[in-house]
Amino acid sequence: MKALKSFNRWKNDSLANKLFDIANYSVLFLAVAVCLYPLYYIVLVSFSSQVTGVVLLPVKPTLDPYKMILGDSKIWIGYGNTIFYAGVGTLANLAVTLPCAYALSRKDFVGRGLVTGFIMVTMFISGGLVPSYLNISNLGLINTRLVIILVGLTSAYNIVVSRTFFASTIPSELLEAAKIDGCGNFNFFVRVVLPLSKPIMAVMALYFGVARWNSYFTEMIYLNDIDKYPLTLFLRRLLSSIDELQALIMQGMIDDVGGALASMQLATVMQYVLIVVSTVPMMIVYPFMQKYFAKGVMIGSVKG
Amino acid sequence: MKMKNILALSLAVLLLASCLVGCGGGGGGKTDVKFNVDSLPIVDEPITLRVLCQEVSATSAAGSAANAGYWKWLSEKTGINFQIEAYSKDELANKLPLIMTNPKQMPDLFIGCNFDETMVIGYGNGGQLLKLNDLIEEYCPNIQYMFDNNPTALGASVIYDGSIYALPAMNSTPAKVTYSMNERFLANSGITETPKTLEALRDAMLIMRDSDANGNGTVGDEILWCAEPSSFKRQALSMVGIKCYWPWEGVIVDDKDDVVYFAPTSDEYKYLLGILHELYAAGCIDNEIFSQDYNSVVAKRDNDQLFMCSWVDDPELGDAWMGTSGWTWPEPLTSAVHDTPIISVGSDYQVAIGAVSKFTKYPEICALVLNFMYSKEASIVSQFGLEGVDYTVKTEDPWVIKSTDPNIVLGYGVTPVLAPRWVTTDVLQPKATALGNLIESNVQEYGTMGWQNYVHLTTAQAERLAELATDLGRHCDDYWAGFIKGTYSLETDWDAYVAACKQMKCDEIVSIYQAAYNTFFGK
Repeated sequence: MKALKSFNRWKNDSLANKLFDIANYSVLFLAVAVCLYPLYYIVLVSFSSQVTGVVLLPVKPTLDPYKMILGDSKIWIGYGNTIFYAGVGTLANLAVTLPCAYALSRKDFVGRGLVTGFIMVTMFISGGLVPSYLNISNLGLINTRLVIILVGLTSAYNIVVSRTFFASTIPSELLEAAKIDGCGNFNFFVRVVLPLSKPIMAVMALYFGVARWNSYFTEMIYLNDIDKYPLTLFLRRLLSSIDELQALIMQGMIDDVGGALASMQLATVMQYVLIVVSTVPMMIVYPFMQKYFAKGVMIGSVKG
Repeated sequence: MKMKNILALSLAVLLLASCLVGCGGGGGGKTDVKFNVDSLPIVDEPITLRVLCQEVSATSAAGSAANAGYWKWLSEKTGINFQIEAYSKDELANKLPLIMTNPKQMPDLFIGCNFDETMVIGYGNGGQLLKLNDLIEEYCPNIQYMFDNNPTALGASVIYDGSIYALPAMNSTPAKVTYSMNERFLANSGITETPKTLEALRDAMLIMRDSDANGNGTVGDEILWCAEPSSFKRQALSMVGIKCYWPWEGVIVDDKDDVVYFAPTSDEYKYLLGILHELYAAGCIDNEIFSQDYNSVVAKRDNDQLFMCSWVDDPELGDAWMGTSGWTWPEPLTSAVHDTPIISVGSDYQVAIGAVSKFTKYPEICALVLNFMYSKEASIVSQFGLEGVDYTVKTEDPWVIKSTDPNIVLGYGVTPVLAPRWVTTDVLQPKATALGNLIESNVQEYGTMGWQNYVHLTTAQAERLAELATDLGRHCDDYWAGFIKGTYSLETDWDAYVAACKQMKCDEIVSIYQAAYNTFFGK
């Protein structure tokens, strides 16, 4: 009914407006197509037997790559590891970031400026990868799941955003009232601040969760056992194996070129399958969390 | 105040002590464990050696090097447990520099870790890799034998001060630049003889262009010379006697009777460009030849469009297909400016495949393991797997049948082959088709190593070369395509092109390579 009314209104509109609307919608449709087609292409190729010739429909459709990927125990191990690192890591991130941010938002915190300064410095200066690696190695954390949780446990930027939220959302009068009733700092944080901070908790959980889900570099550097690898590292291995084989073929270092080409073709299709498989959970979760993404952009801003 | 001073002093002492604890190095001491020098197993009481190596391929059924049958077999033979850490090339490039900073993380053995010359010198002089000269002399007769019979391998392994920090792997089949021709196209065009020279090839192509060479009833749908850019250039250069295996673009130098020259300004190069331009203008050369990849070439091959290309050495296509399709592997072409057939091949060894950590507790045992890996027995297992499991030998003839596993890429061993080439080709013929053997025999007869990528440059030479080569290389590549396509004219633009090369100091590049060439070949 509403659509019909809108259409009737549009029909009675002036010609200039109609033309503008047509042009506008055409450009927007083009923009949507340009954005969506790559995703559609990935899904198409994942159901095809080859990469070349795929445009709008799968070429020689087959489920064999999906069967290979989903039948490979390494993929399920990777899935499990990714869920573990994302889940436990996000909880750990929240457990560290929110209390720190709240403490820094309190005006009565002695040394607040100094601590904030220390944290801010890390946003601009870093020791680098080698000292970090040596540090982790000397702590005996190489090749442990704990190192994945600990590295990246805090983010100075997220602490600052959270601090701003707490400073602007939690009024000091609330604290005074709670203190009058005999509430201590910890109880106030747990019983009053956290329930009021659901928006920032959702935003931070989303930011940390997505970052951890997609993370591969830390895992590549600090993990040795394939049983601890997340899904992203398997995808990376597949991608680099294609490049390696291609380089060897180009250098003429492989006798069975046909076999190598077939291997590469298979690996190329498998990489698309792996992309689909690894992004499906995020694609399912995202529509429910979309509003928090949008909120997150402004949530740490200073309110007037 | 006094308390404060005591506290400050205690903290200072603690800080100093922690610094001193971090100091200290050492490593490379003698092994405590008893080992056998002349017999297997190497140790009677098991020890564990950590090995860092590169994964063969994520899609290969050889799969994770950690699980490969080779390491299990080696463990049974030597009595040593190998703890394998295998990473893809990409991962290794990121992890290796970090591992080398920390003795605790360093393995005992490095196998196939993509050390280049700079890294070998850096890690060797930096005290991370063990100097192997004395160990080779005392414990490694196989390696000594390899060096005695392969002076270039020894030359590639020894750094500027005579030290050996890493050992090479010998390629059983060096990489090669070859091309195949479809004789059916010749027959359909009334040409009775397969071209043996570049000029005959040109003449044949001009005839085929105007004939229905592929016999499908349509004239002119054939693509007579098709390749991807690298293969095209290397194929063509070899026809005028310029050895060019790798790199194929940019600055190319070669030698004539031990005198190095700059190939892109040579008379042979100019002559070649003239013929290629003639063929390109006549429509005999694929106009995608400067941009396409091998997938495109294979697709055109499967469409029966091609007369000459490089992607036909496919054992899966089988001898029967070769017979009906008409493809053959001719002798390399010569030309009016060069009368000796050559096939540019890569080096017959890969540098720096095996190395030992300075911090290993078992240096002699590591040397003995490496020596065994260089033995004939271990090299065959490394290259082909276990007889009866991965391959069987026919009794009627010497051809070896490989297990038909689509995930195993033929000729690509489980680990880099550490044996001299003569060891494996003496014993086994791994080619599954007569075509494969024809290719191999051609390579053995005409293969000439493109030395450019294998000579050692000093740090100063490498830096100067890097300064000069980028712009000059781009200039040469631009004019290579331009002369062939006709964008530039050989009559009017050649002198300016050569003058620009000289202005960009191509002569200095020649002198750098001449010095490296003389050192490498002991001239």
